[in-house]
Amino acid sequence: MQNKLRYFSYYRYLIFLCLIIGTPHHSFAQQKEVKGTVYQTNGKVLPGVFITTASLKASAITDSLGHFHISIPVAESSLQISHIGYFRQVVSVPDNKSQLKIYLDQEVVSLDEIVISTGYQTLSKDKTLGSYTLIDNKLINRTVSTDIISRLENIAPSLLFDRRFNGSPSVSIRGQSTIQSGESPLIIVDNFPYEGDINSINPNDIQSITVLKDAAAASIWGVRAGNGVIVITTKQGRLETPMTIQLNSSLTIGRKSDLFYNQQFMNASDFIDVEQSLFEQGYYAWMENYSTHPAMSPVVQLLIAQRDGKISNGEAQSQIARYREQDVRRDFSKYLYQNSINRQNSFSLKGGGSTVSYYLSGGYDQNDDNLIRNGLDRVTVNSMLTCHPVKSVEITTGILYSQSRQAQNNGGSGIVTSGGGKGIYPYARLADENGNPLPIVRDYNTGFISQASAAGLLNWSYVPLQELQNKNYTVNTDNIRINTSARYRFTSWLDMEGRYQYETQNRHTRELQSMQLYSTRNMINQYAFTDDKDILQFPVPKGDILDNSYSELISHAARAQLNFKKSWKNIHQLNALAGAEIRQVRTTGLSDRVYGYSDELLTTTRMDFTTSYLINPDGYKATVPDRSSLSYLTDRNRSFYGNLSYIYRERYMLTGSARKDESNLFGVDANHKGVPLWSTGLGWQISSEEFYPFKKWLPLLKLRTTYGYSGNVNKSLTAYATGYYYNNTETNLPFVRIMTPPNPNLRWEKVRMVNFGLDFESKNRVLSGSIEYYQKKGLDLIGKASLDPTIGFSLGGRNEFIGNNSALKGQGLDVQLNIAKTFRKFNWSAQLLYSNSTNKITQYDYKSSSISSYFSSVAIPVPGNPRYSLYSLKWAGLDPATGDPQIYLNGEITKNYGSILSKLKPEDLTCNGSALPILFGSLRNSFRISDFTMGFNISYKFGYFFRRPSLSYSALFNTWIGHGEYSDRWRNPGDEQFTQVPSMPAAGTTSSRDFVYTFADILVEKGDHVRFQDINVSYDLQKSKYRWLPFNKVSVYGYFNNLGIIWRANRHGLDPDYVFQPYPASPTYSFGINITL
Amino acid sequence: MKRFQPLIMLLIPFMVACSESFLEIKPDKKLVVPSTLNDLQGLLDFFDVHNANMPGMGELSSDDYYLLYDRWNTMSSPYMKNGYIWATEIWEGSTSIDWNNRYQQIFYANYVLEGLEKTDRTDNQLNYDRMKGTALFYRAYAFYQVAQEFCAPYDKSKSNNGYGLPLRLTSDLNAKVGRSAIKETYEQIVADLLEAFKLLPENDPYKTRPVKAAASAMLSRVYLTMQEYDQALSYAEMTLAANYNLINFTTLKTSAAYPMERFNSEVIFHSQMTQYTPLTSSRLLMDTTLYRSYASDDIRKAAWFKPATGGYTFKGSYCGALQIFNGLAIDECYLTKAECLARNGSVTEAISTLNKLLMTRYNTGTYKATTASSQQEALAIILKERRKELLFRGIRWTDLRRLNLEASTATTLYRNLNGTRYKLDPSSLNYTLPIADDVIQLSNMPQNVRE
Repeated sequence: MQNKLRYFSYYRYLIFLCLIIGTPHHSFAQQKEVKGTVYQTNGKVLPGVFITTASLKASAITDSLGHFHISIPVAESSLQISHIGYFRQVVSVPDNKSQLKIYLDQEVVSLDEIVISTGYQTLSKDKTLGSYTLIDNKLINRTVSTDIISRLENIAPSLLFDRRFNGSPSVSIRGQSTIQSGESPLIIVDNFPYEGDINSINPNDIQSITVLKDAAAASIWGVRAGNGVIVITTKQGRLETPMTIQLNSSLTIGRKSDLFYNQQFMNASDFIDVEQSLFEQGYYAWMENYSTHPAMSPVVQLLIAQRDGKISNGEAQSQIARYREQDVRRDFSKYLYQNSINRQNSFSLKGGGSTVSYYLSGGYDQNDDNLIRNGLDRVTVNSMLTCHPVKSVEITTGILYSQSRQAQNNGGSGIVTSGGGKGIYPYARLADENGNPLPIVRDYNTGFISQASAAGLLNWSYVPLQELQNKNYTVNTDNIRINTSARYRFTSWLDMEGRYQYETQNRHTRELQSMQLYSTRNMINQYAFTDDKDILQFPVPKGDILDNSYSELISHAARAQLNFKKSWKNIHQLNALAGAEIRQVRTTGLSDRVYGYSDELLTTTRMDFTTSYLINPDGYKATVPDRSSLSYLTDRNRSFYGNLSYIYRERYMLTGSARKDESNLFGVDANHKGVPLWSTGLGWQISSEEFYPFKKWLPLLKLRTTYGYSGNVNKSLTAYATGYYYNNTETNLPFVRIMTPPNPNLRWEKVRMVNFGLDFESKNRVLSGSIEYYQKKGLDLIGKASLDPTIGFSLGGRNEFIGNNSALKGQGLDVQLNIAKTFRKFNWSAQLLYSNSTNKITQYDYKSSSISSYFSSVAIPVPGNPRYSLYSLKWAGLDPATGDPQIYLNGEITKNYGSILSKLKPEDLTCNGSALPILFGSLRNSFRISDFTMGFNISYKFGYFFRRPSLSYSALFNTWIGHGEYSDRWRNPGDEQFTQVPSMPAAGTTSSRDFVYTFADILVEKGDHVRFQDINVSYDLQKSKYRWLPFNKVSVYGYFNNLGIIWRANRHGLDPDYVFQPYPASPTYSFGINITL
Repeated sequence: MKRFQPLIMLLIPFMVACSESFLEIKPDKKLVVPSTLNDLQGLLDFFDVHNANMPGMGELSSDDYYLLYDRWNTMSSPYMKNGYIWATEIWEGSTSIDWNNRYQQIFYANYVLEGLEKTDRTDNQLNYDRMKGTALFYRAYAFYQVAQEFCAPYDKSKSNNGYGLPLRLTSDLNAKVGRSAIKETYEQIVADLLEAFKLLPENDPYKTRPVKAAASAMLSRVYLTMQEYDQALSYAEMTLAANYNLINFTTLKTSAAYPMERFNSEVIFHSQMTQYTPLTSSRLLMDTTLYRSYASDDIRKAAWFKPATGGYTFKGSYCGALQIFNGLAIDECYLTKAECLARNGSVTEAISTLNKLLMTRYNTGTYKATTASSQQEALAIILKERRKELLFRGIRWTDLRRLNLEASTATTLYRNLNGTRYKLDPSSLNYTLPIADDVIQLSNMPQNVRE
């Protein structure tokens, strides 16, 4: 009741507020109204154009649709229209009340309008102080890809794509701002954060992308902007433009992955030598009678049979000799991989009348991955309508629909293994000479599984190619986004807008595990047991297993905003906005598994999930896993924000913005505090000063600086001790696991950034660009702190506490230089990007007791070092007598492997430097002769290090993962002069011996390299030139990506961008045609 | 006024958002802030914390089994290799899960005890008392097991002023607690168990939850460890009065992979040890003398052991699986009672208690009741049978430490590996494990002395 009253009073207050600000502005009696629209010569509207009377007594600026509205004294007869980059124009004021249409000519032919979008407003880049990068439509379409994000690579400064790990690359803007929390930038699509899968967006629908890099640019997005913001704007129709239809079709062929790239592979002959040597040392003896019947490689089984006299020596030897000739990579390449083929087709239709404009599009993508039986089908439909029922009102509605179906049936060579943590023996064969699938050893030894059928169990063999044929894993994603907005213009300088977005994403993951699959048969066999009456029982019934998982995301976002824009004469310009926003994202999920499933009849078997069965042959007890689970997550946010910019005489600029965010994430206490974040900026356009001496050759020179805060969210933490309920498989009792200890001091992470920028433009824009320097500081960052295990709080075996106890600082330089020069018919443009980004942890309380955590693929943070650092041990060469690896410890050479790991302290490690590039960029050139355009992009990355994979004998013995450098190993005294690869130790030697070598500084390589990223060519035909053309415009294009490394610092042929991946991305070749009707 | 109406409609959602409850919704429906009795019960029913992953380094260092050199040599964890040969340095940088997991159990127990203090007992007296008793039992259970590995043996004849355990009695992450004296450690264990004994119910359908008999069986075990034989006797007798029956071994299917059933009638409280590699049935070989000491008509010989390369291995765990049971079972109480009786001179009574147990272990009618002519002989017989019955139960290491205090029952242990012979003297300091490096680094606790 009380709440209702409160709404009521709020309501009244708002009405009052609206009344005040809504009172129309009364003009003076001797004035007249002039309205109009300013266009570029190509028909596009021009926002931000300055319109003034000759006497400078009145002025106006065009809005985002190019409209202006000016009240001028009756005596005035002409208007001056000026805009940077365009020739100034003087028009006479019409006598009647007709709308003026003004076309401005560009000073330079190739100049694109630079209108950036922050997601809250569109701004002319000249009138901003923050650090923005605009990627226009032309640049977006330079590359060919299914997704939008990858098109940003190498065309925007300070954007770094980290492809070291498998999966989608992680993108960072200006390096790291956080330690434990999410590092990805916030992605905005059409004014709201995009909550669904960004890959469901069709790149052909994208008009432009703005990257917000500094605090002034991003702080309007508050607590989620700490990692930078990528604002994506989709295409819209324009008023008063004829309908255009565009068709685009492309085909991209990607070369098969190079499986021979990976040097962490040992040829079959060497591998067999190692196995024979281990066999002689009795290394496999324990396995022979082990109760779990662990997998033994075919050679070891042969050697056992030979020893036991079951086969003759000659037979064993000839079989082994055959194995020596095999190379499983040939089979992988032949049976698991293919050339990828991506087909992309899209059409769009856009235009506008006097009151309505529209954009309609459809797209169809069909991708066959380079892994056989993996692929993607995607359909996108997009409709965007804008109407102006009356002059002062603009209503926009957009509906975007996308549906994708992804098949993931092939995990690549990495998942074809012998199980139990092992890789695969290099002489494995996936098929015989006739292509018939062959089994390989997995989980159990062959002798054990061969008894399975006789015992009444299912066939227990693992046939990789059969797996590939029978795997059935699909992900279907439906995404619907509805966008509506209404804008009401009170006066020429004040409007109000309301926006609402509804987004829903449904994802269904279905995995049908038929009885053909090893995992299904294995599970059925594992649970099988002989009951009291000697009858073989199958608790996991014979039949297929079906896993379904559904997730639904529903997001609502609404915003109300007041925009103020006014200029006083030519002297003061004030641009301000204020608004409020609420958002809710709800994600619900449901997963389920049915056993004994028949895909024909949809029958299932009723299951007993409570009885424990003895697992065959491992000997532990387990219940049949019940895979049903539910989830229900709600993320709610409420924000208030405002932004103001003031320009004095087009020379001096002052901006400020503030935002307060509240959310339900942290628990009530932390919430009510909220977090106010703000930023401010100052700018000076020196070139507009009277005294500026270089107007001729450097017509634009602008200095700007900004300072402010943005934030970062970590959803995994709460202020209370929290836990989750689970079910005990042993007792079926529900139990609670404590997930977080109480932390009443939890706060939001904050990122403080200061930015200095210099923009310049030479005459005719032959040379233009910007130089920016920034410093940033991550404060109150979430980080780990070590807990004494005696305290007793641990999760997943780790004793640590997570709280706001860390800090980080960073700095960098972003330089962008553009060159554009025309020599008669020949046009050359180039863009040089140079980014330098370094960071240093300034506070981090966690000290790992285990030295290994400094050597994991992502080393733990250490104060004074970069967030992603690479550490190594000081190498002391091989022992000349034994070929044992040695390191320096406290200045002394040691090979006392037993105690090295406990004696090594973090202080004994060398920090080689950053594991991510600190200096990177690209050089993009583009040439145009008449209708032919050709361009290429060369990218470079410097100043970082990576660890070269190497030979680990313990890994080789236990997991069968070897390395080609085995053949270079130390064998005899004196070899240490030529090699650093340790000698082969006796079986059972501690893995610390390998540790010493694996992490020695001699294996740390410089990552520096220069890459020939891509080439694009296009041939454009326009009807205006070729009358016979049935279309307005036809463009035939080609795009060739990942063309290889031109220069690299390492001498091992390794691609430093793909350190932890088995092979780098393959070159792709795209061909396409774009027709405008 | 009319022209503003649509705009005012737009603002309605914001007014809703202004209500305080908008931000009070739980971000994850599944998330609980454990505070109700149900939640606290959930914390106590966490099997992996309270019933599994129990300390096993003591068993690993004991003498009921041995390893062949290649089995030992191919183990990947240095601390298991070191533990087997009683090396001076054990951990080599790795953490000790025996210590960590028990202190996690203590954290959960303390959290529940604190949660109960904030809860009203009146409406739920029975449950409340049972949960409080359970938490106290768990805390004592954890302290006791850690003390068997990381504190010097309790010697009744001495002051026991040496380093005991840090006695954490709060879940507060910021509380600093140093090492207590051995005496204080055992006093805490006994105090918690006595209180638990008062609070726990007679019965519970789940053997993973402690009952009154579990508290008395545990008290009997603790008092035996402290050489308080009279107390040990009285709690053993109290436990025997409860309704736990010895299994008649003639009913067992001895050929089964694991003939003993989990939660069988002898089990009072179920817990199982961390599965350390040397203690898996495929790696270990039974101590030859020990194996031979089982008579041929002793059903245990067939039910608990099976041939393996080079000897025999163990399959008699009360887990009915590969894991090693180290909970409380009634057979232990018979043996404790017999030993305590023998020690106070009641030889006949002692032997008849032993016979009651052994009768169930032999083929029908073949068991010949044992006799003893002297107190010393009776004790020797009982201790021998104790080892035979309670092997791989997490008890042997504690027994060795206790029996080594008296010269008459002391044992010197040997290991042979590839021609090297390792020795552990009865009075060796290496009967106490060093505390793992990470704990020492983070807490600055005094370290145990090794030789």
